[in-house]
Amino acid sequence: MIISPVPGIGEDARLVFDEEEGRIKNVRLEAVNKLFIEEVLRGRALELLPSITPIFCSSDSWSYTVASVMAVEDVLGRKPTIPALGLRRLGLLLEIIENHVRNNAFKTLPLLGVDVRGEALRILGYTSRVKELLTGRILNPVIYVPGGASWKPDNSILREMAGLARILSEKIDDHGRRLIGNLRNNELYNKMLNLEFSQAGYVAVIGGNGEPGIINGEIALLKPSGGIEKLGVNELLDKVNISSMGFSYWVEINGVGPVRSGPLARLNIVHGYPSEKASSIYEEVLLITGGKPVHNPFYTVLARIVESIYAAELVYESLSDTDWLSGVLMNTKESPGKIGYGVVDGGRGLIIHRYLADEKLVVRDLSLYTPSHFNYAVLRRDLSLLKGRVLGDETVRIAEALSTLYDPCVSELTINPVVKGEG
Amino acid sequence: MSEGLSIGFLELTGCSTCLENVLLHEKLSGILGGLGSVKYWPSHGYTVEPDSLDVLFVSGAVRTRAQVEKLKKLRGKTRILVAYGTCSIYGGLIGLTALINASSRGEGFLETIKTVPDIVEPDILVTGCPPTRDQLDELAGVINDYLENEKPRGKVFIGNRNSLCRDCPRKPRDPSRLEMPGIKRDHELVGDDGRCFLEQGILCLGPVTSSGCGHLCILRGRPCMGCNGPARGVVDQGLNYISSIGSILLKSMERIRMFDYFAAEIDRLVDPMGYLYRYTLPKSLLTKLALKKRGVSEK
Repeated sequence: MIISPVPGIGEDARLVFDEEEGRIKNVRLEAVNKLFIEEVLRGRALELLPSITPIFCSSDSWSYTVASVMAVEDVLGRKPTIPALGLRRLGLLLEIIENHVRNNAFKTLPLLGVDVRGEALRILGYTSRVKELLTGRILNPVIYVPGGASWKPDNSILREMAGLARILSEKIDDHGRRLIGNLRNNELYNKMLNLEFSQAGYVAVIGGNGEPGIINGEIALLKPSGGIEKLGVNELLDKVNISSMGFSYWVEINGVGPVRSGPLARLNIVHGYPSEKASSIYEEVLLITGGKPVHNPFYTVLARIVESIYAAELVYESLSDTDWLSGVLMNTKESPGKIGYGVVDGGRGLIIHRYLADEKLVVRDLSLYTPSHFNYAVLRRDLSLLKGRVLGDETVRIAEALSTLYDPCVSELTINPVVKGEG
Repeated sequence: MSEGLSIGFLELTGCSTCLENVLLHEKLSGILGGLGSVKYWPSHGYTVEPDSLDVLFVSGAVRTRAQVEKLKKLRGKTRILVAYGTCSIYGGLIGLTALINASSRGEGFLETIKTVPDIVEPDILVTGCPPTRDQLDELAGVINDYLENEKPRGKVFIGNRNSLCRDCPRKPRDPSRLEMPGIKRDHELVGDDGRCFLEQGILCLGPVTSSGCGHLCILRGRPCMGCNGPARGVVDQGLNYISSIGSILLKSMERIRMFDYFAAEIDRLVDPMGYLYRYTLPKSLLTKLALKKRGVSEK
């Protein structure tokens, strides 16, 4: 049996069930429209990549832009200014909110019979408006440039953004809390929380105080046994074991595998969420999960709620006091090299861009690691839980819901695993 | 009017983020009946294909044979088909995948990247990456007319199709004698003085791009990337652009030997596909020539 389009994922993927005497022999999610991203980007002028890469991801397109800008900056040897970093962080927080609200309301929850799409759409209206005020566009935030930003909002725009951010934070908090209440009484959801899943490793960027780092911090790998290992980006890429099944994905990192990235990974790795509303909802969620680490992927729904509330609080906080925006916007001092990295822990998960440029600053080779490169192996393993079960409405529903919890973009899984040449 | 309407969203190849904006635009969403009218939108959980649709918004470019079939099938069930966003009309950024060798794409892929109008006849075309608030205002009016009255003959193009330069807020010192002092790459813009980007040597695609976007990037210190599609009369964004800048680069030629100078400057354009065809490669003359050479039919 083949499910296509897959609810919440669309036409680019299909769920394939192999059946034997009415029972599931195997189930897998397949890509049907691979994008061959690296082929397109090889030979491009280095400085153009931040404006091209976002097209390859609908969920994390701003994260792609920022990761790309960071990688270009690294090649050029430019250091971004403080206001530019703040503007980028603001955009990424807004994208995280959108990502989580959209994924819960439109992708996962309808499969559990929970319809909060109208409410979610109203929230997306606020994030979209703030993004528009921030960069002029809801796609391709062109103001993010290597070394800084080309523009910043003036005081009247900042005031409008702050007003919208205050309402956004209140609405998300209210939406999240009601949703948790609703899910507590949802029979199907509780049934899914009782499924037994194997342990996994988790990877995320965490800040100095153990909070979600997004673009500031170190890459942390949480082992199934509980120990955390900090890794530099080079070190991480050296320790990757990649498999290929028509496309590439990460099987393990440094002997730990499979490794998951994204909201559940961050929930498991961070020490906490240092803001008022998020920390209280985090405590409430931990009471539901019974502690950490949490391996059942259906808890991703709750992780998304905690993180969207946290991100909305940070957006409002950033816009309530905008001292960080004073100062020089652009730094054009540079000392070009050949290899550059950009790392962003976006809504979907960890994104790493690695570029190799020649002396004319033309991209000669590159690797784009996406959240799905981490998550595909875990998804495959989780789907295998259905092996031997009767193929019917409920098992199909579980497979569909599981897939949405990883928000996979299988079209992206075409990476060139290692940059050829130097590095 | 919106009562009982059935609306669909078909995402072909592209990021498709722009489709959500249809429902976030108050006027347009009001006319369509909002979320309650949505009957088909696989990425957002509406996977059952309805028997008929009043309005179908199609975003993205066409890369696979399955997409061709799906598009044709849904066209047959749809009263008003809107080709939505630059990807659907000119290929957009995803059009750059036309650079990949067709044989390496594998089974099920077309020989090249197609657009929605290559496959079916849209009723309305809206460019933009994404279409802007003003374009959606205009679209709302057109869809309202379509729904209330007899469908007019022919296609409707939304948005101003004049060149972006016509009403650009960045003026050159002397509009009658615009000179480009050479070619700088995007990251080489240092000390932007607010003048016309071309006069600062920056490759800005304003001369060949339609102005329906409202100068969003230019107002924020960034040159035009061409995302709103070609201006009226522009056949090939890249070739027309080279012709445009050729004439203003040559004005500076009075003191320098003509061909050496021009050739050297054009050499600085290290990535013509990326700079000049970022949004329109599948519809370019270059693609047509390449297909002809390979003996591939355009249809």
